[in-house]
Amino acid sequence: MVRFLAKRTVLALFTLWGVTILIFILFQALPGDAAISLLGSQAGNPEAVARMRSYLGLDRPAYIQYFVWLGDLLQGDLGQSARFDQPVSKLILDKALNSIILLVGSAVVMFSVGIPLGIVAALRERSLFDRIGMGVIIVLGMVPVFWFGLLLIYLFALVLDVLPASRMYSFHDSNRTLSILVHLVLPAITTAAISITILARVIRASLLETLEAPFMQALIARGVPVRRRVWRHAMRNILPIMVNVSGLQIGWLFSGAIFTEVIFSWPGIGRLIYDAVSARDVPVALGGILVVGALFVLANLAADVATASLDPRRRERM
Amino acid sequence: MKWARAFVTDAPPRTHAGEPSWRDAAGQAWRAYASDRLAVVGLAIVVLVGLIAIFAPWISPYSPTAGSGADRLLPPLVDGHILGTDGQGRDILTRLMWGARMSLLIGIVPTALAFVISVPLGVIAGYHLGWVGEGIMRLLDVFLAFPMVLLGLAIVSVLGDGMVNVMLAIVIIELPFMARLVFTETSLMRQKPFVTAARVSGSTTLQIMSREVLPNVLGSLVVYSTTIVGAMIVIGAGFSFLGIGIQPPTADWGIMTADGAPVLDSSPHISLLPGVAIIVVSLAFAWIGDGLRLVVDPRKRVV
Repeated sequence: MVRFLAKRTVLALFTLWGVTILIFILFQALPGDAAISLLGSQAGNPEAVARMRSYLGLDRPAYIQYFVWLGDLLQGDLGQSARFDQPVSKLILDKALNSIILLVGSAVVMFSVGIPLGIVAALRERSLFDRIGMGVIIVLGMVPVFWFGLLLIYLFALVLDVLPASRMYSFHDSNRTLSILVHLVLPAITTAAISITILARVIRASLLETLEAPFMQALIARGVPVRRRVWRHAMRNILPIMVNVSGLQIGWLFSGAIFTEVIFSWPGIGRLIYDAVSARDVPVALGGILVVGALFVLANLAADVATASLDPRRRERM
Repeated sequence: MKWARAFVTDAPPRTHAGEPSWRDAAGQAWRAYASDRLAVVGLAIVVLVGLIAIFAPWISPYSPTAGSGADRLLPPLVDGHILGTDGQGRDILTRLMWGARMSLLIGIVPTALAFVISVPLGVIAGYHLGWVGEGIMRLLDVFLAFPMVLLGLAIVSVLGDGMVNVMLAIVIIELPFMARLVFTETSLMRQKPFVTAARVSGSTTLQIMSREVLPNVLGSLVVYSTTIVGAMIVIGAGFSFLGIGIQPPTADWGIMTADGAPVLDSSPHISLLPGVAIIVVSLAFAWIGDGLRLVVDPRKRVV
């Protein structure tokens, strides 16, 4: 297990390093010169431009610029936003809590719908519930997140008028926590929708496979009751894959949240990235993407480690 | 040695009656495909949408970009606008027809490109397993470690919006997945007895790659590519929706969804209809993929 943990962590660090190179290359590919755009009216003066370039380190070779940038990055310095005149890291930190609230809400929806749906569909294979449930799941899996969000707004905020359609809370509500919870319902469902379909499908398929495995036949032969067979033996066998898929899906929730935050005006990191991309505020855009990408890599790492601790076979395969 | 001569002269010609002809093989493939009814439905949908996309300029009743101010926000089935009009008085049916062009292009062109690039990358990496292959796969793993939408956003934020850049972003999104598939299949094939047999009988590495490995790998890749087209149509529409992909006033299903968002309360059809089109077309591609899987992998066929 220690060997696995070490190897997997090294791999994740390697990937993170690759992510920084990718982002740096994207930065480099940007048209225009930062020195010229910073100088504004003085940009016509070649001497001033040269001084600014050397001040910014732009006259040094690209690989040195990369290491300087990486060094800053490791100290939490993601650069400066020209639009807000603030450090990128501060802009992101300010929004982090809101994104985490949305993420936790979405994860709760994903687990509480996806897991029971997959289990019941497998236990009642080919029943009406299974057929309708899986039919809905297949269609839902192809639904564009942004469209699904608008559909929910139309149905629950406009037609039924039971839930709010935008922002994180309203100023009229006396209880801030309750207000946030109410505002969280539709965004959380929207973000979780696609992950629910994947989680339910994987759980259904692996539970069905396990229920037909030889050891289940042996348990039947020994007269072990159904309840015990399913909950004690079958579920324990699909637990690793359940944990793995859940972990990976939590990673995907980060990226799905971008659409949700835009549609529901949720003030999180996704919304920040979107605004930055629209306004071509590239340091903020790439900084935000870097942070979310790093979280995604870490979520994958956590998922793999958790799976390996549950399933010894996983450790061998590394 | 009389028997030997008899054996040689009586040897049947290479294309003897027992060997299935091309026509038989195609018939068999179609029967396997058609055994999945949804696959046939999916194919019908894609063909229909494809025809609509090609002939949009001739069959669409109105202009896709110019509206009439007097006919704004009409509900469906009013004044000759079967599906109503949007906030600028443009006919929604017309824009849906023209939007099919964008969606099919965004879905198919990058996938075809990624297909062509991923085959050599994956086969070389999977067959050689040397440092070149290792390097290629590690590089692609970095891309794989990124959520697709974010990677696309990063690329578009640097390159700028527009159709070509979105297509480029989608190629980069797809490539790691497709190359990894080819890589895995190739490394599995490498250990198969028929590849060993070919090597023993003196085939060169290039011959083994092109004659033995490639035909076996391509099948899975074709299935995967077809399935992924639907997902890419959704992602492409997502970029348009966010305003960083194809730009207005082009008729695109993602743009149309965004256009209708502010008037969702009074005219929900403007936003909701394009989404239905996206779902139907992506499902159709997924169903075609399911059918092709039956053709490619005979073991999955239900006898």
